[in-house]
Amino acid sequence: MNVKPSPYLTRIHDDLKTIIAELSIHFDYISVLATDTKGKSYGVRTRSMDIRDAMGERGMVFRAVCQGRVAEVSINDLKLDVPLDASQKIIDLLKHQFDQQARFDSVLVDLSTEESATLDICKSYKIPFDSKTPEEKLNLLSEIVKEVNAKDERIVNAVVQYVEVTVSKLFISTKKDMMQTYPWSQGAVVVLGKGESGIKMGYNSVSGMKGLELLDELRGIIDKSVKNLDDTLKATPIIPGEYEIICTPDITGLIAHEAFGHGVEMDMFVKNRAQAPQFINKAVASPLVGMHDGALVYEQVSSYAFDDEGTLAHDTVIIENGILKQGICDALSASRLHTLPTGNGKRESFERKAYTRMTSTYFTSGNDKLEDMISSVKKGYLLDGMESGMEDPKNWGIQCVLSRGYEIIDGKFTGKVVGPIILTGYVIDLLKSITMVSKDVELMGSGFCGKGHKEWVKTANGGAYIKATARLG
Amino acid sequence: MKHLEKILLEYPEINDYVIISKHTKSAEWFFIKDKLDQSRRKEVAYTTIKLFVDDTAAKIRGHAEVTIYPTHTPEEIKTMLHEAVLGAKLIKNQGYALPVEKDLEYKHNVKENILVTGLEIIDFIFDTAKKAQGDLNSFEVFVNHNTIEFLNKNGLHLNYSTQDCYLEVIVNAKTPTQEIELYKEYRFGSLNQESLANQFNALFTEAKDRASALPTPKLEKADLILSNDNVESLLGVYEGSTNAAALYNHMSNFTMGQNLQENSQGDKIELTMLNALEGSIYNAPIDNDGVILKSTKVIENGVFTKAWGDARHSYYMELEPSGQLRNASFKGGSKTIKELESEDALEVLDFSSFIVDDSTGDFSGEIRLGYTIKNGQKIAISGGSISGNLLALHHQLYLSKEVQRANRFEGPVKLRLNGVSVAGIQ
Repeated sequence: MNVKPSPYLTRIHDDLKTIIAELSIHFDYISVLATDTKGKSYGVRTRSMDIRDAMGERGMVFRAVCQGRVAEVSINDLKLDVPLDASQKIIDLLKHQFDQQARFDSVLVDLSTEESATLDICKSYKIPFDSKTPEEKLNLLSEIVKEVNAKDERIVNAVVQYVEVTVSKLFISTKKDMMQTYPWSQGAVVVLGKGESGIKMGYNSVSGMKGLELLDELRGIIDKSVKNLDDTLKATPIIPGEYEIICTPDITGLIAHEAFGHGVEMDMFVKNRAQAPQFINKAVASPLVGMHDGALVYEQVSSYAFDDEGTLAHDTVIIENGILKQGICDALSASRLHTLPTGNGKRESFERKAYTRMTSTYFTSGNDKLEDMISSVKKGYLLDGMESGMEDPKNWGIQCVLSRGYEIIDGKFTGKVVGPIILTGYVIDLLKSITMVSKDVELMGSGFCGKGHKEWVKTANGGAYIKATARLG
Repeated sequence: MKHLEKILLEYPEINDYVIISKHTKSAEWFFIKDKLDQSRRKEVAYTTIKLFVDDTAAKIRGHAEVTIYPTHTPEEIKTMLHEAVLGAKLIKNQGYALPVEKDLEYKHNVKENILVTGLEIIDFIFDTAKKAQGDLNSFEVFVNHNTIEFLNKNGLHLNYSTQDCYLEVIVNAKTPTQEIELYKEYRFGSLNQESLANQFNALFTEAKDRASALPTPKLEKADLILSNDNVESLLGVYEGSTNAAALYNHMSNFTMGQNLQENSQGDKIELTMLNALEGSIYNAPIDNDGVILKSTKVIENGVFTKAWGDARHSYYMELEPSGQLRNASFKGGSKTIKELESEDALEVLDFSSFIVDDSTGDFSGEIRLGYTIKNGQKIAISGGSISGNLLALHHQLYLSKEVQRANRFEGPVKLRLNGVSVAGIQ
């Protein structure tokens, strides 16, 4: 069933067209992105529960270019009943900025080559969000909490979270008139337990461009979440060093995201903050490695039809057979680099600037069997439990923090678990060390991605199991 | 706001409500080197409503929160509030009461001057970089002016305004063989040019050190020295683990009355959570529930004396609520910085990202810039990582006598923690 388009955006569509037509007289380029995103978060814990608005936004951002300079206005109280008054307010806010910009030199852009497009897309889900009442959703989460708590007497708190979001966006420029509506949902089972070393946590999560069908998937991760807690409680500190590693798809995705995803965001090329431009068409990874990014490639939490600058979604081949092919790019950076945008211009919300951001980023599959990969390890760890990551594209460093490593000696699990673990290294060394890749690709999208330490957006990452060598601490 | 209150009063089952309206005007600039990437202006308004419904007989209280946008129609608002009331009735939390606090005088109004402030900051950044002969890669400047109105069912009605600034700065440094970058962010209520100039100058020096840094040696274990914002991050474990919500939800390893650093050979933690700190962007008279914020001594001489937190979880823990405080003050320690650095150690100034788990005390980070200190000599290093658990190591925690104040944090400039794991490179 298709999600329903936003009545608010439908209502303001014609007024915005009028305003854009008026503004286009004053500026070389003008566009508006209007958003109306609604979300609810349901949380049940062992001792408390809540319902709250989540991920919602309703507002608009105008972008203008004047003699190559760029200015934007984000606003959520623009009164459209008299479109000419609304136009004048935006003109004043933009023109004042352009006057001020005369104090500085600018990095110029040219958006006059924007292609024409008209779209009206509503994506679908299997089970609509409103097919269960809030009470039914809370009851279901409460049942999961009860089931989790009964699994292990060391559990001191079970947290079950479910978030459902309907994203609606309208983009209008002189050449484009596009509207899209799509759903996403995510859920997590987080289990806190007390062991000899104090309070520890295990979790698992599910996500996707999905409706209420996700609630069934939540039930399916109860046992895995409890096992993850059990393993984390058992974990001892790792002896720092270089090890053979096998990464679960979760960790493979984290590496894809942190190692190469951020490193090929082309706004970083404009700022000379990445090494990637020097490696285009050169080997940056083992020949077994392929990597894609794009809102078109998988139906996950960031699978839109057009980005926040009105560029249609792409499937970008970043690495092919270990060779770096190209980066991902927002519209302004593309103009400055004399290339084409790839549909990766994303904003945290209408309130924020657009940057080059990832969508669904993953390593492609290989031909190896997981059991063969494990039996090939002399001394190392199977790594699982993504916690966080950080990029350093300028120096191509990588930092990934993980919950657990399962020790493998001479091709067999010993039963020993280590954690938490920090994986660091030089990206190219890490990716060139990949010697085996399994067949099945999985993508996960329950986290958020920041640019530096802000601008949080939804992204999905994944891949198959990979075998590599890495420094662990 | 009154029109929203009128709708809420149509529901006799609502036992409490809090309405907070926030109107923000912002000016933002984005620079690449000395050229402008773009500028932005923002004008947004939000009203959040939190409403509470009690089942007195069952000693249960539920709540729901909604956010109203200026473009919501009256019909949409009525529907949203109706759904919120129904939602609050479904929430079966242990009963609690919000304190009745209606006699509060708070006059704090900051004149809106986002453009003047922003341009002053930009000039200051260019000027400081030029004087320091630093290589500025790019920076972003955000200045926000917020007008806030608060109203609750008890009649507490406040109007005040604030201004806050955020800077993200990336600097480069070069050697004949490589170019590196360092990334820093700064938040403050008002621009203190002297303090910020000192921090910028240090950043340019650190970037030059990173450019010529050697790979981190394979140490396995080392005594770690941290400084500035990394001290704040690590000591955040003591803030997070003493919060009433963390205790109630078993997300803390601490218990009230516990001597946290039994048999400590180092400095004992002294933590006070504050309602106000000079220059902090988190100074406020009340929290989001309308609790008047009260500074609270939380840890004294290493002993966890009193939890701090919101009305609900404080009620559950049978404590007078301090409110959801945002500022922290840690007392300085027994050693000068010179004394902390007098013995061999690994000092880390900058991480790719310093990750600290407030519940477990686990911490780790990739080293962007550090120094090995051996026989009084400092050598810049980069790469590899450190990791450890504060709660397992804080019996050998030493804090500097010298203290810093940065936005919401007041505390030692440096700390030394013995026995941390190091994954070096060579």
